[in-house]
Amino acid sequence: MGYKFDWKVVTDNWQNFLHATLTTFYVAVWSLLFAVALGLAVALLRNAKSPLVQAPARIYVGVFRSLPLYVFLLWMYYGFKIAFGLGLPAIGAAVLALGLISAAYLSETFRSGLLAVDRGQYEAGAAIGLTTAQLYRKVVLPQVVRTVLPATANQFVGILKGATIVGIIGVVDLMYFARTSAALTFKPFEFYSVAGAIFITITLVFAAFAGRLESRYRWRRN
Amino acid sequence: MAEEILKLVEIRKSFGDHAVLNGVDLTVHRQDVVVIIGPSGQGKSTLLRCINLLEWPNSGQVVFLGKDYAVRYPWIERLRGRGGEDLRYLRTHIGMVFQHFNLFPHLTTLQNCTLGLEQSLKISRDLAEQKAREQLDRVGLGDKVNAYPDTLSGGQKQRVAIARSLVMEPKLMLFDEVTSALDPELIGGVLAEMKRLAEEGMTMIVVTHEMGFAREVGSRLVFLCEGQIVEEGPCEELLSHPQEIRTQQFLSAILKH
Amino acid sequence: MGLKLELVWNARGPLLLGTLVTLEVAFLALGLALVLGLPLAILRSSRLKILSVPAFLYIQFFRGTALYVLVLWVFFGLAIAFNINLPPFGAAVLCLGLLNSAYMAEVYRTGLGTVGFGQLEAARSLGLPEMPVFRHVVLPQAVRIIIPSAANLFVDMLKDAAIVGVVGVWDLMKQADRLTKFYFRPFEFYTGAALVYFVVVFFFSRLVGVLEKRFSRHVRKEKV
Repeated sequence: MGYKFDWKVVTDNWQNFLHATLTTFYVAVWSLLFAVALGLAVALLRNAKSPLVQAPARIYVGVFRSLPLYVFLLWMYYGFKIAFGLGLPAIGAAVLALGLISAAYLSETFRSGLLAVDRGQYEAGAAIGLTTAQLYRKVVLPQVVRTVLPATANQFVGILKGATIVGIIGVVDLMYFARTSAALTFKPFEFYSVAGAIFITITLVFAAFAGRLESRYRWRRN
Repeated sequence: MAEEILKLVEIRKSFGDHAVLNGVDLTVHRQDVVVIIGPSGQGKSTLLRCINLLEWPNSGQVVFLGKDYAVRYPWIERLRGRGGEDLRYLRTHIGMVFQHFNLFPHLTTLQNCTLGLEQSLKISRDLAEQKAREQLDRVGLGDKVNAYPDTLSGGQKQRVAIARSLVMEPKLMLFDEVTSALDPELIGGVLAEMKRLAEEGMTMIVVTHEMGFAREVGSRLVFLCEGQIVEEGPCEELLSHPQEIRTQQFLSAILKH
Repeated sequence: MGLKLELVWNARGPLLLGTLVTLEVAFLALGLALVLGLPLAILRSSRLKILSVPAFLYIQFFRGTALYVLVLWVFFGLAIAFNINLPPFGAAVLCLGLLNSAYMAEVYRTGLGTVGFGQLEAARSLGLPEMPVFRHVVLPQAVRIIIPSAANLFVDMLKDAAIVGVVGVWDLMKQADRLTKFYFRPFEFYTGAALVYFVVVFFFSRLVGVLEKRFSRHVRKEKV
């Protein structure tokens, strides 16, 4: 009883494949946006002068960098729903979980980017009369952005990889589609192969993009 | 008697329990070129940075154009912005050039110069660019307006830094060992710029090791040692006939080469 | 609906068993990655295109893929298509190990560096015995960079391994799932699982920190 390879089932379904891929991408992008915003806030807190302000940020980073996404996802989606009756739509839970965990990693990147700005920049800015707000807006943050851009792009690749499991809680993403199609058509090899190929292509494209960002923003320091 | 631009009264500054400045008094008149010399790490830079309040003295007065700026408003007031305008006035009328240039790497030389004009003095973009181009021309870098700092040599960077300060039309210019980080062959260009400035009548306070500059351009020499002014006087006189022993020791050591 | 956390405590047996399985998977996969990564790194650094290109492709392939995608493809796709009877545990270790062998190869390459490989080639071409040069000059320096990076990779692998329950490995999460379905209390059991994970990962992270301090004392650290 051999396995009959049938690639037509895949090509016939290319539109659904596309739609599912876009869903995965959609989840990843929203997670990134959330993670960047939260990560920046946490990084600024981490850099605060008072240890009291630093503490919650440090705890957050420590906890969320130790938590596997799968565990947190299930905990948030099912746990909260059954125990407290708080229902989040699957996509929302996915974005939240991915975002919270990624923000912890990103905040470390942002923090080192912030610290990498030379002290002299602050002095030069002050010496020409800039206020603190102007200093950050026009001098410090532009430099931080250029420094952390490659790492952020790399983090996005990590988010994409994490986003592959959101199908488990029911988000109709690439892998969910592959799984259900495989079950329906009894052609798992074809569907998983194509899904895998699509996924790798996307990842490698973004990884290459991150690499280009890295070479473009290499500062030759003073 | 020329106008008194700056007066430092009994300036004291400590970092932790390490006292860096132990009661420094200094008066600078218009068109003075005050050269501050002394052993490393004994307060020269700190003194300079107390003038535009990048460092706050623990006690003493920083009187610029007749007004004392070393006045700390209470915390609550500062939160509401008081003291901010004073600080802004002080810093936009005093220019500072740093040892390590501190140019903004993500901006072109032109933008480096216009930033202060646009943000602090609220000058329009067009007028700011015009002034910036003028200054960059005058320091000989008119053709580099759109270049980024990392493409410039050390000497060029320092001249951009000078232009960046001059464009604000300051009453006083502070130079903090501005040639110490430069390769020997580039020092001359920067010193020439500073000499030109002095000849045009700018009031300058220069921390340096370049004795040739002191002799040629300086009007007054100040010897700072262990956080105090040991000796001060007209450049020529002090360099040829130092009165204090420590001054003599320092000068003989530094003039050996 | 009250929280019944005692259920988690009562079920500590199976949960601990699951934890052990998770650790087993991670350790074995680490071993696989360590062993496979080295020849991979050597091939990748070779001057012969015929050796370095396939290695490069392998590394790019596995660095671009996610564990979940790989595991599904191997266990459900490959195994069923080619009628291979693959045990879930084996599949999990294989996938996790292969995937991370690519990362380990890069760690080896950074650790040994062009200097290391260059010195070996020089020794070889001069007819000098490579072993002593390798052992006393290259290896000590390389180890200082490799061990902390590998330890970091292991912690990541622990976290990744959380999904192996999907193919039937009775790891911590699958035990938690089973208990959840039985008692219909996902919050309690997933909280328990999360806590266990947190403790384990935190423990190993601290270990990594200690290793990093111990090994980075005299070396300028390069970012992997």
